[in-house]
Amino acid sequence: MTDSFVNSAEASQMQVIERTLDNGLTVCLIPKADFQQTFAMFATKYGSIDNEFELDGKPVRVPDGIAHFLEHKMFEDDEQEVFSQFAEHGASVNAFTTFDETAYYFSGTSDLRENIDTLLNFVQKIYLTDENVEKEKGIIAQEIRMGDDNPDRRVFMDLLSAMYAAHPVRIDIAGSVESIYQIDRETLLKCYHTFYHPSNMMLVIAGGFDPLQVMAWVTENQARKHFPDPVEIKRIYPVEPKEPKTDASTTVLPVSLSRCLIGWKDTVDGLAKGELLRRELLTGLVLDALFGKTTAFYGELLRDGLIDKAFSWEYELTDQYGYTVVGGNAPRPAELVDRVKTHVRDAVNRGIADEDFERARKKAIGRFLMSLDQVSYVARSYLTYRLRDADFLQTIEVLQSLQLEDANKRLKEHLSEEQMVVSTVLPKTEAAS
Amino acid sequence: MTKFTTKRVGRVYVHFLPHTRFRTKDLTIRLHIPLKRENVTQMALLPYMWMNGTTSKPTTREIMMAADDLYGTVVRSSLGKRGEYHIMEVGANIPDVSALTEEPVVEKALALVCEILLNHGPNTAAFSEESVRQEVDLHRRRIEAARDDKMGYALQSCLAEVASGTASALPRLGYLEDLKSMNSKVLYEAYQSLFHSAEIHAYLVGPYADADALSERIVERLSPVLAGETAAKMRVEPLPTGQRQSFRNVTEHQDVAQAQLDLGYRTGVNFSSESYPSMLMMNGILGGFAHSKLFLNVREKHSLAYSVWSHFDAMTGSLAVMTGIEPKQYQKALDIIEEQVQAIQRGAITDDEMDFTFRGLQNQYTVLLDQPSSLTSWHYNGVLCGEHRDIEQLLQQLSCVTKDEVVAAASQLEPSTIYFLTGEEDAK
Repeated sequence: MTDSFVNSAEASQMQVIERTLDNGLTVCLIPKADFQQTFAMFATKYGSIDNEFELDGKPVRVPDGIAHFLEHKMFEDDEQEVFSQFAEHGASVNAFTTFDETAYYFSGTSDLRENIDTLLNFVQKIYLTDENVEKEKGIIAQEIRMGDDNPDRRVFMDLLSAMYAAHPVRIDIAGSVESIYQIDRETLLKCYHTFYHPSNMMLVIAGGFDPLQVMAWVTENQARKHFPDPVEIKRIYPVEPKEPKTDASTTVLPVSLSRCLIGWKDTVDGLAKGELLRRELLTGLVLDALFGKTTAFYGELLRDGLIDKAFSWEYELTDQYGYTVVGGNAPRPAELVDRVKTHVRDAVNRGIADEDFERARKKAIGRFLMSLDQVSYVARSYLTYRLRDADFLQTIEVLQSLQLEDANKRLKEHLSEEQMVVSTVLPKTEAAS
Repeated sequence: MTKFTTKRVGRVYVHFLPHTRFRTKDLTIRLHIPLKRENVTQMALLPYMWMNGTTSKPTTREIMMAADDLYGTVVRSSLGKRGEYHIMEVGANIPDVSALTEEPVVEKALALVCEILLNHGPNTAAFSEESVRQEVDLHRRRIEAARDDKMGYALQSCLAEVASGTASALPRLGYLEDLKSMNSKVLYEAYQSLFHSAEIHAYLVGPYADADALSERIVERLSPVLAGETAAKMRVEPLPTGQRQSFRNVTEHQDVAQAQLDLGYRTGVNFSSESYPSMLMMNGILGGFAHSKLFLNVREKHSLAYSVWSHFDAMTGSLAVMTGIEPKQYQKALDIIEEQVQAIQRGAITDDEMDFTFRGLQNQYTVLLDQPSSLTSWHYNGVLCGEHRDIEQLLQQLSCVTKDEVVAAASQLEPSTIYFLTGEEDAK
């Protein structure tokens, strides 16, 4: 066991007690005195993009959507329903799978020890039968169909498919109805044993509790279990070209409003260790200064009926992929794209105004402080960043260190037209006319 | 812990709850007026119009800049519907930056929020012809876009059928067909009439050093606008029961990959009813949780759906079961759902179901204590129903609910509507 240490991000006045246990599990505790709720999240660094890896020196390719399928199956237990085990102690449990993580979490206000034990125990035990694997396919197929009817999800996934030529971030997290029917018990077990080793996992707990006590409970729980020695996980990712696969994608759906997303593919080669949070926050300031609700550009788009108030921007970055997405509901997508292109070109030439940059920074600081009122958000963000080797609680310090010239440099290198991709969903009626 | 202090002058109420645990100061002002067919659409437009500019900040951009300058204070206006009332809201989430600056951030945010609500003249900013044109166009899209969220659309359609014949059935956003008659005059008149009749409740929750003085200032700002008229007490009643004995079938066809099957009931019980705690328990056992009968039977046992829940509306007392299924599974899903309701009605309830549901609800309500906006909404439920419930007291009542009381609550379910949204080609 490595020594625990206290990491305190001064500006956020938050404290994290972190410890790596003998079996390799990293435990992070974020006490929030006086809060009723405790939110615990147990995650593995294993998501939908991990569909190829090396096992016993040989490459294994597994069906798309398997990480998400496994997430569903972890709730299966041969003795007592997992949901009931939490319900018995008044906690609500759920899980999600993203491109690069699978996380299980509960929120509760009592019986903390029992709930922590249940969380650790159900994720660290697998119970699969051919029958219960088959049964899940119908449920997941309905989940996928639900997504098919959702134009916002479709326009986003179409954007990533157009942007990425080979990298599995282009594939829907849940896979497809076809791919999930190829999943069997044996392959699920293979993935489970590869990626659910404690050394590839992390437990983050935030809320009103005594951290020393909780650390002792977790340590005790883990000491009772035996795991094989960790093996190095070798993930296999295809070589992804720097440029987007294609510059546009259009889908026709039975919706009443068209959607349009404009994306820029980022390069992750050369992203130095520890640089992730800085790049993410800096890009956020650039995007807010360019597309935020206080920009004249946003007002003009609204006035001209090219967007509505759901227009937004987003930036996502990992060591595998990075992209900016701007857009939303768009009655005249082609016009919107032209305007965005011109706006970015002008911004690159003129540079971001100092006052716009400062306003964006001030706003980001305030929004971060308010987010600390939500223990679920704190736990989730801390965990996701930590899995990506970044410290979420350094947000204010990093924001305060950013300079306008960094922002202008970032704007130039990231929002280039060669890296731009457009995804549109058109209503059936419009496409027919 | 959840005791608000209230000041009242005429139709203006200010409720405050200083709370040192939060870093967010929540300021919310809500107005409610009865829903009426003849003005539902213009009233629905108002909160959106307000953000288009005030007398001194003539564009949305200037409003948003003022908010961003206050360390990213989130100013908002929104439109809600509870039972037969329209709820207009303006508010702000203000970060507690007292450690970073001496700037009077709260005072400025309060002034901004009041300005968004109050400072509009005819033909200026929000009510200019150009602004009206833009907002009417956005509103058309807002109404149309609501159809794209199939699950939400199906639930709203089902609940409207359940409330059919009452003001609760009127759509929150109003009607597309009304939009062509909207102009600045119509909307400005609606705005003025809002102040003549609404009841207004302001909330302050969070680390306010001077909540008392601040609430005085809110009263000062709001009272002149609302003076002179006394509105009748506006209270939400549950939808009446005793009108139906069997379901009405409503089927709608749209181009969808997944069908939505929703069952709606009236219960005659709402937030102010004595049997509210037992109805909450009943709903929890039926479909409120992942241990509930619907989840275990429709999803886990028969794999018919990914999502299956029941939802109890604390204002109208309507209860809806909602699920997304394959169209051809209509009858099977319907049979299983009805079986679960009947099981509760005949008392097939285990001790575990009682215990887990109580503990689940206990968790849900205790968590509200960690959220400033939830504390506001909770108190406002009491305002709307004329009965203030304390969260701790409700938890105590829930712990005393017996199986017989759950059976009694289930026996109050009056079948109303089976709403089925399915593909254009699908036949049951």
